[in-house]
Amino acid sequence: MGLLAASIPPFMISKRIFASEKNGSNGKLNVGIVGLGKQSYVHIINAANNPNCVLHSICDVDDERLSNRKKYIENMYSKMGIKHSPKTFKDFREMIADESLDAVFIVTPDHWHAFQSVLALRAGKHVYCEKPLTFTIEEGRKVVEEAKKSGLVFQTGSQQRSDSGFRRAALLASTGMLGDIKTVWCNIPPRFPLLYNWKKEPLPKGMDWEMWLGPAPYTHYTRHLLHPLLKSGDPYAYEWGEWRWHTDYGNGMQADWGAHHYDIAQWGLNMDGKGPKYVEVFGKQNKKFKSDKKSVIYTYENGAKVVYGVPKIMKREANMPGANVTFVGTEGVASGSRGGKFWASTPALRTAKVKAGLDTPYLSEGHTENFVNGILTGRPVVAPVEVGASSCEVCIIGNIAYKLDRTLEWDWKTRSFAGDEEANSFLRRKNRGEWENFWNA
Amino acid sequence: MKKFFKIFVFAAAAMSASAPLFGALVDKLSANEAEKICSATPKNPAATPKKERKALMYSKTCSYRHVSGIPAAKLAMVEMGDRLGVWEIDVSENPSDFEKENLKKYDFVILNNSTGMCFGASSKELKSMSPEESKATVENSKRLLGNLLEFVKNGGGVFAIHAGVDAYRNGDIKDPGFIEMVGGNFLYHPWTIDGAPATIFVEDETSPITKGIWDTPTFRVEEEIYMFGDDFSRDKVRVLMRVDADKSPRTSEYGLKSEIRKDKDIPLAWIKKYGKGRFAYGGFGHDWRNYANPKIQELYLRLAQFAAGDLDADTAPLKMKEAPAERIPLSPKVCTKEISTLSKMKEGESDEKINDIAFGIFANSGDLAYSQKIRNFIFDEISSGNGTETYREYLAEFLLGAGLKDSKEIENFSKLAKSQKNRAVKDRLDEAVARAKEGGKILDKEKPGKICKNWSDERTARFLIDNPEAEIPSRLKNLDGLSPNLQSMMIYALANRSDEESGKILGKAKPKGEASVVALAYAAAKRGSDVEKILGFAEKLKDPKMRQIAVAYILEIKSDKTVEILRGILRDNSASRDRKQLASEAVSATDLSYLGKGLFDNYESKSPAEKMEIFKLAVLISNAEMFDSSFKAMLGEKDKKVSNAAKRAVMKCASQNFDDASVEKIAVEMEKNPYPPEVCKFLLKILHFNGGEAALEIVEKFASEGFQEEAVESLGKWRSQNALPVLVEIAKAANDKRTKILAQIGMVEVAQRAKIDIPTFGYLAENALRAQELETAIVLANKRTSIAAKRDAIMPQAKKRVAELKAEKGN
Repeated sequence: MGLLAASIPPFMISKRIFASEKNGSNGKLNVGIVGLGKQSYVHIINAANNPNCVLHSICDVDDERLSNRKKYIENMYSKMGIKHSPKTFKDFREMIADESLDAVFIVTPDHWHAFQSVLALRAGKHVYCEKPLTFTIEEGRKVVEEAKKSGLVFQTGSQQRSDSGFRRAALLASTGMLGDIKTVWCNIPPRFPLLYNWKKEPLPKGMDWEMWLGPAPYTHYTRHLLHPLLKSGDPYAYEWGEWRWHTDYGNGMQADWGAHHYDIAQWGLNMDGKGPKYVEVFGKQNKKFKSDKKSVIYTYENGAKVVYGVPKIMKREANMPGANVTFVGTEGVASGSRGGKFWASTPALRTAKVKAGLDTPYLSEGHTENFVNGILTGRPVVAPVEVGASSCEVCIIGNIAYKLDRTLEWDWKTRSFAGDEEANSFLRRKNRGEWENFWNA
Repeated sequence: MKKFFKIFVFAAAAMSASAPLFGALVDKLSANEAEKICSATPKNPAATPKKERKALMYSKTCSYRHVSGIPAAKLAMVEMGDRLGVWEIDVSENPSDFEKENLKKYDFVILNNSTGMCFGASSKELKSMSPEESKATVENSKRLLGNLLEFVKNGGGVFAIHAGVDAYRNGDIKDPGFIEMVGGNFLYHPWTIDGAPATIFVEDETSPITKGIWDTPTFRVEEEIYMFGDDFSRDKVRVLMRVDADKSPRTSEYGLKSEIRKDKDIPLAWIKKYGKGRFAYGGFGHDWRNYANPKIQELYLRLAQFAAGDLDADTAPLKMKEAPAERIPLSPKVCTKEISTLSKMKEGESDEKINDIAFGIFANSGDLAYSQKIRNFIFDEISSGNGTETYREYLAEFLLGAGLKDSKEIENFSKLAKSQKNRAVKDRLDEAVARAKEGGKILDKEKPGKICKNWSDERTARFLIDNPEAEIPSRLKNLDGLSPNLQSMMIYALANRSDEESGKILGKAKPKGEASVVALAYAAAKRGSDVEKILGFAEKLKDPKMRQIAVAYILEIKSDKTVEILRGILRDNSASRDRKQLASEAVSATDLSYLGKGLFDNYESKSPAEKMEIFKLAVLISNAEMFDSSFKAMLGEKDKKVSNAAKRAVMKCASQNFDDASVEKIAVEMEKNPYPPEVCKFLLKILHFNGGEAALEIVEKFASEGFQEEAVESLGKWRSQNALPVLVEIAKAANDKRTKILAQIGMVEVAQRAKIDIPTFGYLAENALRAQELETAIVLANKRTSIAAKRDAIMPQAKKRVAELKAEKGN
């Protein structure tokens, strides 16, 4: 979920008492977290505070993170008057082999998402996987196939879908109340993936570097890819994992925020599970990152454009936080942002209600609760695997066009580029070592 | 020394020459920019002048002023004249230079971004004139424009630069003569200077005007590119180059909004005959930047020499040519020599160069010979073990951009990969080989899933939700026999099916818990079912979040009757509280505006009870129409109870939807029939909900009619800055201290919502009566970095005043 997490409101740590129930897990879901980086913080709190969950186990390639978070979780539970200690694992395969585990939160770097999702599903665990859902287009298809036949719940961690601000904006767009949508502005701070020649550093003790790399191509250890916990102050006060900027391990801001904002754009355009028709590349010098000299613009079948930035009317009239998505239609403008922030161009739109009898964007009770309720009651989740995969595809095809430096025609039905074999060779990648034949097996 | 002296003098002159029009707009050209322009001056004339040429360069602007483009064009063209001896230029912004006698002195005219009614005055200036003066100015402009057209017809020339065509082209000032001379009417610019570089196609590459300037038929440029309207046709002009619209994405907000011509014929340079004279257009030069490009300057030299009559060129129109299919890559090719400069590279170095190379290789992979060369180079370097390990790692990375073409190459590279000890190199070589071998195929076909025997019922039920085609085991069909959660899951599974049996099972469902009721609401939305049934289970919905979700599903039910049924339940005295509650939540969440049609028909003849019902519904609808009707009804209503209900309806509608049209209506009514005092006071309680200019005028009017205090209170609730000047006015005009203080409190309240402005801050700095408001104002002013200079000028006085007020209070 990346840099946006910084804006997450502080959580109330509720003092709840475990109900006295019969069986070992108190009738609650045993959940585990894979990946104890910066983003795991929010999941630890959410899982521990969900009245239907027990934070059963945690997993990371770094011993230090494991012991640090174990203590943290024990503390959290003890503040609620509960003596509870999570199990710790260094190899996620051992964790998901644990029969008592019901669900996993996958919070690892992007190049691991698909592999861990599929293995967790195969092990019979419900999956909440962080966005961007996958590293390649092929991986997205694999996860969709696996989830559909699993009888398990799959939630993508694009939690803007559970935010009322974005929902209101998407609602006005998708029900036609803004007229025809001409442009969707996604305020993503531009930073396309690049190559970074980071210095080799000695591997800190207790880190399993091979496991961190997993299916991704080999490179030497550097703190830019996996930062050791800080020795003083907040151990997690290091910069967000920089793997996301490196073309071999991440998909840049395109995917980091794109998986949120393009996801909302697709929602409002009624294109869930589908995608744009064209992605165009154009020259644009990034002022902060010199090697980043291009940008992309998407065009949907109906002519709607999805672009970076914020339209002028927002700067002039709306006072919205930076992480926003704005729909510009022929009859009005609406924008959503984090924390339920919403703005529309006319008073009538600000208070507009939708006519009865129309399909409206899914209403969520909160992203984690929505996942848990999905497991318990069968209610479809707000960001199912098809949605997460297709929104991620939007991000990835932008990066392919960027890299190849040309306009591409995307056929979302076949998940391939029309008449461009070279572009199609980037829909997948060869995986390393023991993961080499994972998708073909 | 001499040259720089001239540049500085020129830049300074450019600044002073243009100031009079457009107020604060002053031409801008820095010494650095001027130097760059002068370093791009062509080396030789395009043609030897037949005689000494004199040009009149005109840059008066009566519409948009190009503050950078104008001085840049002046400098570039004057410098050409000075260095090459091709002309001497008089620069002017004086329309009277277009008197016939004066024009005789010149061989050609350069329209340097002269805009609007450039021989007259701007519309703003015209408005400030007396009618006679204004009429005379317009007449004079027509006459002078006529002189210019005559001048060309009789053998003179015109070279129009960029916005030189943005004159006499629309509205009252549209002049068919000018448009005919130009060959088209400028419309707008779909490409903006800060958008992405556009691709320009030199269509007429053999013309003496374009010949040899560009090595390729297309080139990229960042420019504000003008598009011409219906009066333009390429039959009237000889187009030299145009935008390749298909390869030039419009990326700025303005560009995204602009429709482009259907024929995509958007030229950037052309020449034509007009009478015995010549017209040339060059679209480049929105600002100084393209004047620093020697190629653009060469083009302008030639266009101007054409206009002067020294460079002959064929002006016969040409048909539109198809642009070359190849696209100019954004990242240029990188040669192997440049790559090899990295050979000593260690970790932690050369990020920028690495990326330039990688993108250069990717972008040019379509050039088969080039990518072959790169691959050979990479192969040789890696196999011979040249350079550092890091260097070879990146060579392997670059290979991903160059691709592999044939089976021989694949074989060679896969052998090379196998021989590598360095895993980073090997992995990347393997990746390139795999891509070439397998291409983009996503191998696995979707395999249909099936229910596993060892699955729990819950897992089976969830599978059934996701796979509506799968057969439902009979034990899961008996909803009554399932646990509450499993029952809920099975309702979702049945809801996703369209068969009759599923419908029958759902029809008999007796929900065991909240989750099943939500699931039934979902089923109703998916399959259609009557809303009454769901409402029957209302008492099971306790959690407000779950109720909200159920409401959302209820409102998705595809039936015209839903709202009618919900309202029926609201009126039904026998309905349970839970049912009413759910119905009411659903009703208030849906758009009821269609129910407002005709609601107030025959209002007068209705009984008080009926009237109360009308207002109840008006509150539910709360749109502009309900506001207008309720307000009208409120004014005439005698019955106190009904009148109060009307007021409540007006208040609610105003808070939801108080649009400008409603305010306008009130203003118009007021003109005809002033409202009684209580209505004025009531309006002062709601006008801030609209907060527009018209509302502000009404408040001002009331303030002057004795409702000063109420007006101040209203303005204090304003959300936008526009209330501030009015509050300052009222405070200044008030005689009593109380009103002044109230107004000052109001100013700070508004400023907290909408930012403080300079006049308000200035007023408070001088006149604040209490320290607290001024202190808040200081805090707010300190946030205004965009007006820092003006704010800082007031700040000392503000601080002084605070100190005085505090001292006063202390005493």
